[in-house]
Amino acid sequence: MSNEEVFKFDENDFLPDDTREASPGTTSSLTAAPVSSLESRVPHVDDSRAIAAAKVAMHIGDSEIPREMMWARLRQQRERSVVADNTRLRVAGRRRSTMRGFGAAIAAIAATLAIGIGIGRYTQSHATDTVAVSAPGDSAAVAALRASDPAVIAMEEHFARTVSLLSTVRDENPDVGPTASVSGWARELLGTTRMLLDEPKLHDAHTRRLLQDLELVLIQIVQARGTTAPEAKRAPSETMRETNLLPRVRAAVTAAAEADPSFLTGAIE
Amino acid sequence: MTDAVLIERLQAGEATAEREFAEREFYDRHVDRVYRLILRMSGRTDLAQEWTQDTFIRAFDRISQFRAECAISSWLHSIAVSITLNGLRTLKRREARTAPLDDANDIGKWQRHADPDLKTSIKEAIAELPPGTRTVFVMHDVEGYTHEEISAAMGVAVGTSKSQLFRARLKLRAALAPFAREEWA
Repeated sequence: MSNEEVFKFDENDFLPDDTREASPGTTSSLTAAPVSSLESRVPHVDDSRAIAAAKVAMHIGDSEIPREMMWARLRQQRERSVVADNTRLRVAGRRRSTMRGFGAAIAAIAATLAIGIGIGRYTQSHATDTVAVSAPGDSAAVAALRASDPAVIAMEEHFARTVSLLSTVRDENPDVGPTASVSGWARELLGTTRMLLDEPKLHDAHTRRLLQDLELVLIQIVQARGTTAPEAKRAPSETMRETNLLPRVRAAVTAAAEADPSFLTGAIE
Repeated sequence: MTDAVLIERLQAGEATAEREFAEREFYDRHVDRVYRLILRMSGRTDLAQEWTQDTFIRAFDRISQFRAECAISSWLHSIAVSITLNGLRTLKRREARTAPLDDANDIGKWQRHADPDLKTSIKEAIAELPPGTRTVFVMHDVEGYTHEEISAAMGVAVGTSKSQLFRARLKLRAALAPFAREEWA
């Protein structure tokens, strides 16, 4: 038998409720309770009669066991975990391929740097006096460059559109599940989310985590449409709550709007 | 189909119709005892249902780890005991933080009734036992496990199982004493 299955007892599991807190770490506590004094006070009752009475008292009839209900729930639970596993595997696979691409990019950058340094050293030895000009707005320029990157703009617009859908899903009754229009909307956004996940320029951990959580919720919204299982219908709102998705997406939209107030005008149309 | 053949099919790993059939067969064979054990330990039907499901899910996930060193039922019941005792411990901790202590004390115990009849007194006496002692008593005297099986399932020494059973019976006899005077004397 695997030890993994074995519950790890501590002494408290064998102590009465009212003595548990009072006896931390006392190895003799299992025998400390006044068994002998109790024994002396108990009139003779045959063990077999006591056990028989206990069996009667704890009897659970066949009809009291909800076998089919438990089986149905068990199947649903397992199916959900299979879907979640598949999603995780897909995401992990994509992450691996992205990492391979990322590794190649790093190698290319390193090679460029090495060549650059070589050229620099060569030209320095031949150069006349030159003045190094520092660009005072470097960081602003980098930020502006990033803000003007089509991938970043597309992602920010995508998040702005997603907020509306997520708000709708949040406000719907989770037991009813999404309507056909919401499901279609989610399907469309799912396609864009996956394209953004495949975009190498959006590889920072924060963005990817947000996109991956969004992808999972969108998948669940699409799946919730075609099922009668209450767990599947509730899954999108539960995942949204657990991952704190809507506030995170909103925060991304707010940050984008602060950087470029004009972008929202095109995004929400 | 014998247990060995059933386990072989479950261990095949493929999510096929045959495996699903084997899972259902395995569930049908063991669900009653698992559910009864958990209900007797927890005293609440909602918890018993949830933890029975968890027991089978964990068993199906880890069936490949099962080695025929013990009976499959013992292996399965050790999972059930582990899940139940962990669940009870977690619930008590959680309830202790959010509810008055009087309410938390009722978790893991059979529902109490107003009429102090024999059946109620026995249930109360069993409910008053510490979880470990109650588990030993339920497994040995109600479910019919041997001390060796209990020892393996709970990860305690055989001697501990025996001494806890002695204590449980003593408490039970004390609870029955008034009725023994009236009805059995």
